[in-house]
Amino acid sequence: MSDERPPDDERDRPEEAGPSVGPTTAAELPPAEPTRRPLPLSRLILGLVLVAIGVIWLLEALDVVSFSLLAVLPGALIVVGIVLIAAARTGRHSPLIILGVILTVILTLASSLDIRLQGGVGERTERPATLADVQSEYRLSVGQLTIDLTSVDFSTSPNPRVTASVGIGQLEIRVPKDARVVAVAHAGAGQVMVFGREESGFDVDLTARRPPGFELQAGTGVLRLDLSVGLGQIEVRAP
Amino acid sequence: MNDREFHRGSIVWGLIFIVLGVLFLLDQLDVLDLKAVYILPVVLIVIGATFLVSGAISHRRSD
Repeated sequence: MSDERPPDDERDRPEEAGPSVGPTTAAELPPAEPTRRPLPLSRLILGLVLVAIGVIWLLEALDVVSFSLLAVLPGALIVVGIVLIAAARTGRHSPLIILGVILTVILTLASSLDIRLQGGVGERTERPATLADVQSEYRLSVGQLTIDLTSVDFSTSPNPRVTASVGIGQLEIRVPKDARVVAVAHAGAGQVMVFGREESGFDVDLTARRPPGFELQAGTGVLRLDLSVGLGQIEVRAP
Repeated sequence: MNDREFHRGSIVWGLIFIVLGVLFLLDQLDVLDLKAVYILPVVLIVIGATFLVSGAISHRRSD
């Protein structure tokens, strides 16, 4: 097979490709105006939104800032909507519409299931040794959070209260054997098990006391647990 | 479509996203309490109405 075609660099230079057969030569033609390519707005905004979400997520994971990632997503959805309207002359912008639909689905699920993405991702175990070590709040976005309170003596504290939440995953609380506890647990969707009682499904609420039936009075050293998961499981148990 | 003409679909989707974004923001700020049973039907209604209106307009233009 013979290759009589000129090299690519020669084909790209018509004025040097030989004598012209037409009435006008390439040299006589007016210089072609450089075609301005339209700004790839969809790609730019898509990249900007993804970078912004990633930066905020990273800062939150590094504990530089502390707020729910889901508080940012409605803002991103509004930005997508504004850009779609502003750029309506330049085309359909399907990638932006797809991004908007994805954000809508995430936000719908999060709002429906009360998911709060706050406090990092992964498996975490908190094991405070004394009352002073106990934090009032424990948060995890996605993963498994275990809070072992079995070494803490709550009887000396007037109103001990612990709030813990997991966005998506499992929350496990271990309380001291002899402690008096009121646990209020909520799951957007999933299973709640508190001192042997169990509920599952959507929008699950379960309140349980231990020991069962004790009189709840203010200032008596009763440990109050406020627990929630958006999607997942809560378990509260004593040794 | 003329280059200077607005793309109707982009405007409709943009409006939908802005309205939903504001609603979700209010929900995150605990001003509203949105539930899927309220959101999903509204989204379906809006999308369906968009199809109906755009279909009717296209039909009228083709006549």
